[in-house]
Amino acid sequence: MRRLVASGLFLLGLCGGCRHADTFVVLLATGGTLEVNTPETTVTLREPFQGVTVQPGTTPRMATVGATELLEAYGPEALPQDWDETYALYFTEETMLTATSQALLTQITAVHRHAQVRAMTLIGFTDGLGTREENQELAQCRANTILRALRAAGVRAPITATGAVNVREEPAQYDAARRRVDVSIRLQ
Amino acid sequence: MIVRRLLLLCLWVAPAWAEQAPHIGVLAALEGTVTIIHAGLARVAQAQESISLGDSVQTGADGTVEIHLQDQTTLFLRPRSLLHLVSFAPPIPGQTPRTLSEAALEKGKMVVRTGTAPVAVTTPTAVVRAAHTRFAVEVR
Repeated sequence: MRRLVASGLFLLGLCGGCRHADTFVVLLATGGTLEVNTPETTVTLREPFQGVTVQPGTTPRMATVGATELLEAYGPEALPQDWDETYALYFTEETMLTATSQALLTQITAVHRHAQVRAMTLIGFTDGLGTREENQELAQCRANTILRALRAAGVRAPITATGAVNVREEPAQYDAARRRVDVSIRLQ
Repeated sequence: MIVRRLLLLCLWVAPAWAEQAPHIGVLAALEGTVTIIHAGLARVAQAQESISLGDSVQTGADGTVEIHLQDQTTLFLRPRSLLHLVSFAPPIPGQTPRTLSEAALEKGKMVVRTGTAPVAVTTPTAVVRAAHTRFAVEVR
């Protein structure tokens, strides 16, 4: 019996050893260079918040990570320091902001309409309800909603609006914290 | 008798080798449980402690540590991580920049702020090469 258990544990160990760990890398700053090399490929990351998951024998999976995820996963050191301000705007429905976030957006536009803003980045997110394709579209749609609101309010700074490609598969459930757009602002 | 002599030799050689490993940085700040594995021996790390080439740094479930290397590279190790400090070469004036620091992240998460020269972080499945930037790397 003891021998059987030992054999089982040995096989379990072998199976665990067979699994290749994957590596996730995300760029946190502008400028500089960053390359991720595997035996099969090389991926170059150029933009902050851009990430990639690599695993031998599979195609690298690109991802966009928001400031909130960076903070949760890697701590305060991971927040891009060359961005002067970051905000999170939350949605109740597909593209409808919560009252608090609507008020925050009004504040942001009021402050930055005439400010010396060098660049803004908007990254949209969704929870895990719906298909991956639908969520990608919705994430982009949320980012575009904020972009339009900023433009309509007179913000003229260059703005990049993208939908996040989820780094991990989100559970198929309602999650208010993921129905949002992260706003990052770089001042002159 | 021979075994005893060999054992004594090992005990004499190991600390001597450990002393020769050059210091390459310092644990600038730490929280929770952090362990340094030096010359095969593990010990609980203290803030402001020096670390040497060949050391490994392991963080517990509540452990985080900030490592400052001499080339101004800063490594922020997150909980449940294991990092090996693999190589470190002093800069050579006038030469093309090359990898100054190389660390191997065996498991866990780390944020890297590069210093004066390129940095390489190896993981079980990839090598990350970076210069003049900051990035996070995670082994899942």
